[in-house]
Amino acid sequence: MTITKAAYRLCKSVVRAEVRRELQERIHNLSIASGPGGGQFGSLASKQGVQLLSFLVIDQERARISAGPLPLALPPLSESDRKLFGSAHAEMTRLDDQCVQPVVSRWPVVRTALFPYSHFPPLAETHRPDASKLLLSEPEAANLVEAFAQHSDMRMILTTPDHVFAQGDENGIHQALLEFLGRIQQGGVGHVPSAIEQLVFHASSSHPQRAVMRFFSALLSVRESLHNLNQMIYQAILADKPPILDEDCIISISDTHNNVVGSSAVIAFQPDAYTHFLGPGDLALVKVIPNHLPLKGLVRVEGLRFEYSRDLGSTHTISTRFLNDDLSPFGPLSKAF
Amino acid sequence: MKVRTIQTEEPRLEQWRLLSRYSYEPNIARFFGSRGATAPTPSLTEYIAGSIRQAEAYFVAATDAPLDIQPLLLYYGAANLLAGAGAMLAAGKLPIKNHGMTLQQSSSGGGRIADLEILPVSPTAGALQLFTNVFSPGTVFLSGVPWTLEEVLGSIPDLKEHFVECFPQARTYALAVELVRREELTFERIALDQFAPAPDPREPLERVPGISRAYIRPDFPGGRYVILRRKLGAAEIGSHSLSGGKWLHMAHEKGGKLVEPGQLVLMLMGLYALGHLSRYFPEQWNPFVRTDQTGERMVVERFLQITLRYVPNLVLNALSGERIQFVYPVSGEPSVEAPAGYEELKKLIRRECEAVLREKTV
Repeated sequence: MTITKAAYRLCKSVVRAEVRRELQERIHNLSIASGPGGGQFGSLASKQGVQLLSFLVIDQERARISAGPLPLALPPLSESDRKLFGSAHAEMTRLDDQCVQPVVSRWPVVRTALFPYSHFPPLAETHRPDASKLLLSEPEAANLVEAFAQHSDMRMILTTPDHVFAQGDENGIHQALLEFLGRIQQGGVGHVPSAIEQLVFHASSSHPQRAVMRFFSALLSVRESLHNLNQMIYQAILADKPPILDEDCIISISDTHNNVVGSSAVIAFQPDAYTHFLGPGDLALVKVIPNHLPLKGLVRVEGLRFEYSRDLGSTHTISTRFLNDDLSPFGPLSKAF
Repeated sequence: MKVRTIQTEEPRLEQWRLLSRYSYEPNIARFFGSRGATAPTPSLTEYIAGSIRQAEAYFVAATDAPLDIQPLLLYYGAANLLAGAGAMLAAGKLPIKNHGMTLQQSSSGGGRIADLEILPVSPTAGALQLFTNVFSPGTVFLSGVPWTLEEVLGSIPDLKEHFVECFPQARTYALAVELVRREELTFERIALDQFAPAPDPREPLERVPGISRAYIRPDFPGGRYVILRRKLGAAEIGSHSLSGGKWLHMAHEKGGKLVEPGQLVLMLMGLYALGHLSRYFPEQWNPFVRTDQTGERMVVERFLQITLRYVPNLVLNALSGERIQFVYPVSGEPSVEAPAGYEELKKLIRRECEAVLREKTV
């Protein structure tokens, strides 16, 4: 079973979980104008892009945010809410750990780099899953871990000879990986950074840098797969199905690219109740459009531009990266080096 | 449908010059050959050539004829033209035995010309259904279910302005569509006043056949328009007016079914009603021509002018498989597209500059 299929099954179990309704209500309550803090808590959290951790981070940084230039009066999360979010977040990070356990066992120094929340400072409070309020079904989570072991970049990392990656400390690797990710994101979807292009297309096949970049690209791919897995679970808390982009809402598909970084497209659509709030970091399902480009699959939104006018209507334009069966947007990258 | 623009100062003459090619045997044979049909018999060739020649003669005569006889001349002209062109497209003479419709006075007791009713009859041997099978395939007239002349006139795009002025309470069946180009996105919109007198535009929109296949869900942003965005890869629906503007058509509900005849068929029905009235009911037609005080005569006259110019054009379109648009070279091609404004251009330039800068910094 592919990782994507296993993740879908896990998400279906999330939709059925008892605690899901409670989480959904709390997130909704923190996001609406009549809720505590006028919905600003939820609004700020949604901008962080780190799923349930967002709520815990905002709660922790509440005093600092309120003292900032904007007059935001953020009420604290209640003890029960903090525990509720903390427990579910802990379940997700435990699943992340289990997924990459084979890699971390062999290369302990890559642990931080692979952790999808590593760019956020650690929480002061340690959260653990509450056995009475479990979000993730154990059998489905186990299936996912099993599928993750087949991640093509996990296997690439595990088969990398020791001498290729003999040096480096945990923090250095982490910083290097974030910088690598930043370079790719800075160019926008469809763009291949010049450093990658030089190495892939102009350096000799025996260039020593190739093996190192192959290793880093595989690390990046696995990290992004985990990030997308967490996002899928988070979206399953919020809605029964992912937002669907199909012939009933897509206006145009342009700037389609299929290169060494991955596949991407710019999609303009007319929003409805399910796609209106689609923003950067969110996942959506693109369905094939008959008599048009044969594009389909899960995409991650990287950028959003929207227009609204009473005489011209609403248009949202998103730049997206397509995810492969490993939930990675950078599937071809490691193989290119 | 592909658009072919022909520059001319005399579109009426030019369209007949193009049609009259088919009054010659070699051109008719070439037309049959280009469609993979067997060569026409001499009798069929003469039938086609004669029909087209007679059609032109009727149209020429109608051009300067008084209103007393103009509808009849135009109906004869249109019927001949459709018979000739129909035989070319069907690769054989259509088995027409009668008009395929009759005219009856209003069943609701209305005294206006627009209240007259056209009754489709004889679906297998009547000209109405047989022409419809060729020029508006898929449309089936239910025998004995009447159409008012008001319905027919209210479905002609080029007549809409005059029709609404004269019959403000009547339902119209044609919706003018504006094409809007915004950067790389092109979409269509319909002004809400096009739906008058319907209180809610949603119901009329749902009556446009094929709208859900051609467009994504209509967007009502709260302004003066409903926004329509084409589905990717979907076939275009609607028709075009004389000036090249796009129109969508609401279907007519007849006997529990939705029916949407093309403009050519609707014009034929209107001409039949007016021609039949003038020929067989002069006691009703004469006072209307001489002393109409309601403004209805203006609508009828406008309708006849439209058919005089557009029926041959629509037949040419059907024969060529192209939308032929005649334009005046001095005024240029009429455009219904909103041009890119200054702000639009600024945005495009800004985006291009940002892309170049990003390229240089990465």
